[in-house]
Amino acid sequence: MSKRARLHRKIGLSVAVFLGLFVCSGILLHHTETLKLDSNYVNSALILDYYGFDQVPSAQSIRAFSFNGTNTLVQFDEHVYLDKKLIFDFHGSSDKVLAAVDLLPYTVFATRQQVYVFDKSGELFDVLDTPLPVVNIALADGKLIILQSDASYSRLNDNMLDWESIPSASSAGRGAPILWSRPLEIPPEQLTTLWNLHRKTLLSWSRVLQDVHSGRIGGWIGNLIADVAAIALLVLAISGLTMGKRERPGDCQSNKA
Amino acid sequence: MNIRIVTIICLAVFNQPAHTSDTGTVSQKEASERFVSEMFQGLTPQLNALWLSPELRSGLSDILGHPPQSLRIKYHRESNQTLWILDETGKVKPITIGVFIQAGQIAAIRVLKFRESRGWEIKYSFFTDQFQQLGLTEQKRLTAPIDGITGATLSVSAMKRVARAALYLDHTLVDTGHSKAAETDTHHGGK
Repeated sequence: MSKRARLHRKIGLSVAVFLGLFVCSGILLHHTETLKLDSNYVNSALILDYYGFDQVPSAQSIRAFSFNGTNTLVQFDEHVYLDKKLIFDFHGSSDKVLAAVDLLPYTVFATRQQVYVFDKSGELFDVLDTPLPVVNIALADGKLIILQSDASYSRLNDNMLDWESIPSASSAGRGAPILWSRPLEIPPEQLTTLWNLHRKTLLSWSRVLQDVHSGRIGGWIGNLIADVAAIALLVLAISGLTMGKRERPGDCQSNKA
Repeated sequence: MNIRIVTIICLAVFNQPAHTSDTGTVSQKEASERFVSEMFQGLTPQLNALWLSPELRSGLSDILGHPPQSLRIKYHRESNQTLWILDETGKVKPITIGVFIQAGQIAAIRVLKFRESRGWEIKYSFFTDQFQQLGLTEQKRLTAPIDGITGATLSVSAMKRVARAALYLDHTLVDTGHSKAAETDTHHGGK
């Protein structure tokens, strides 16, 4: 075996594993949509910890609301959970849950511009635009009231489609107490449980595969390995070509003899 | 000559906006109100709600490829005209699309809020005009094919699904003779 062939073989063997990884991850990424890699998420605690999703956020940084002391509505990033069930995804929007109340038989939360209504099973019933930006929401005599940015009030009509302007919050309740939504500081144990649930929706398999494919999964060392493997592949191609050119038809026969 | 071609290609590539999602100052609410007012020529018919029965949910699921997002869908109606504002995800984020239907055929379709980073070309009239006068076949398909846009396949598909869903909902109203009284009854009757 010539010196060139030995070098070709050595390079091939040393980068074979990495090339295999890049090829396999590349093929899988090529079929991202078919394999639904964008919408399938990593459950492995090991991988999630490796990616840094191991820090439970502080209770003060989380918006949480409690109803009747039993049901809890929590927003983590773009996701809203009702009693551990993911009920809504803001899909990249920066909307924040400002307030939430239990409008039996519905659960309601409000962002600055809209009111979201869910049934008891957590199914979205409807999304309602509000007349003006929302500051807070309340319940009065079983009716939903919103306090608006200009300090005015509106009440949701019985058809749950449109709003009626009212002079004051107390005028909606006919003497009944007005229960304004107040955020809750979520207990640490509950926060940890919810975080463990939430973090399993943060890392898609397509991102992991992209990181494997580019070497980013191994940090700067991984990047370096990917670069070296890419150069090695180029060298292999060139050395393979040159070896093929040097080998003549007569050489084969003489070698066999 | 070659330099000219390269220059044109470079200009075309680098002239693309860096961030293409529709994040202008017009909110979805404003865009929706404007669309309703424009379609009904300054009038805004009362907002109605259609509760999704199991059959309707099933029909919509067939069209959308997933269950409808909410338990009821709001719409505006004036005689044989209906207007639907629906959200459908292109790749990862929902696109808000308004569909105006006259006598069972699409009279106008418009992107009211585009949140994706790619595929924004669907908001232009060269694409949306293709939907005009299209109806729904018995197989819940559009009555004519729609030419796609390279690089906007998922957004194009989302708009086609919304068009089919709106026509299907419009047909449902016509078939069931859905009146305001019936809507109120359905509302009080619950799911």
